[in-house]
Amino acid sequence: MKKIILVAFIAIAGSAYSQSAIDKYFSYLDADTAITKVTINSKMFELFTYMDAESEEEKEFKEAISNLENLKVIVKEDAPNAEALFKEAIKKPGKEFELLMEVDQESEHFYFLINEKNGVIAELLMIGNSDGEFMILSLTGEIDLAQISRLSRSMNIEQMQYLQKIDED
Amino acid sequence: MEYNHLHINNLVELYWKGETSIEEENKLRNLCKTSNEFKKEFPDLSLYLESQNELLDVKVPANLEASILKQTTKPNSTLKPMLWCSGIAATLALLIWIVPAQQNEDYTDQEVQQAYNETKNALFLLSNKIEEGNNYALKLSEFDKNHKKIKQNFKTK
Repeated sequence: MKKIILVAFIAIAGSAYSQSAIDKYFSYLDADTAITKVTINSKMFELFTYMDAESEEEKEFKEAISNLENLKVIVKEDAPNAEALFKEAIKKPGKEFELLMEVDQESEHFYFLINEKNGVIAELLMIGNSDGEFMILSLTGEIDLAQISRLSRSMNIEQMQYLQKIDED
Repeated sequence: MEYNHLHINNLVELYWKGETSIEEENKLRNLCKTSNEFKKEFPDLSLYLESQNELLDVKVPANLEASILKQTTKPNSTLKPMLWCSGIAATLALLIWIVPAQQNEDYTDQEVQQAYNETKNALFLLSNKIEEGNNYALKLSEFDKNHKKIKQNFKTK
């Protein structure tokens, strides 16, 4: 009985204070006042579901976020030391993260890391340096990469349709 | 002991009226144990007194009272700490669970909309970058496929 209570308590406490990689490995950046930090928690994700989705893009977006729990973003704009910040940041994630993809082209460099648990991506981490802007994005929950990848397609289609409409007018 | 009918009849009469003394009642009980004549004359009373005698013959262990007292005053060493622990755990769990939930309920529509837009921007950026990576991977595999095809055609010629 004692064990059950203890395990239940740890589980509740654990779920309430589950840390994302940003809290765990990038807290050293908190001291930098030029950094902007955005956190979208699970309650906010729940509130998004009550919002009206009119367009297909919105519907697709709402479906993509339906299983997400937390989104944390760290951004430092106009950062002359963006490259140094990026190089330091990519060394920080623990062994639970594995490199999914690296995109290195001209003025931008992005690292995509995933933390996979029982065949499900529990956390996706993107560390990037793009045109003097440094950013880290952490997404937790049940992540469907294919669905997230599709988001940009639906957005691009919508933009193309919008441009087509302007041409017709 | 000589069986005095008159005296015993009077005693029985007084007994049913509830007017006998303890000594007189003990006398009747003894008669019930020893005298067959009494049993024949007063069968109902004999049966009743026999059952009474059986009850009175039960010997109470000397340490019964002490043992009961010990059990009732013994501190419950396992239950109380358990109750404390579960009480504390439940309170903390409620604090952890309910307090952030109450804080979250304070969001205005404008804040929710702003958070929605921020999430959308962040996820579209993420999505775009993943797509870029995927496109490069596709191009690379296409290049590899074509390269192999050209190499094979060259060999056959």
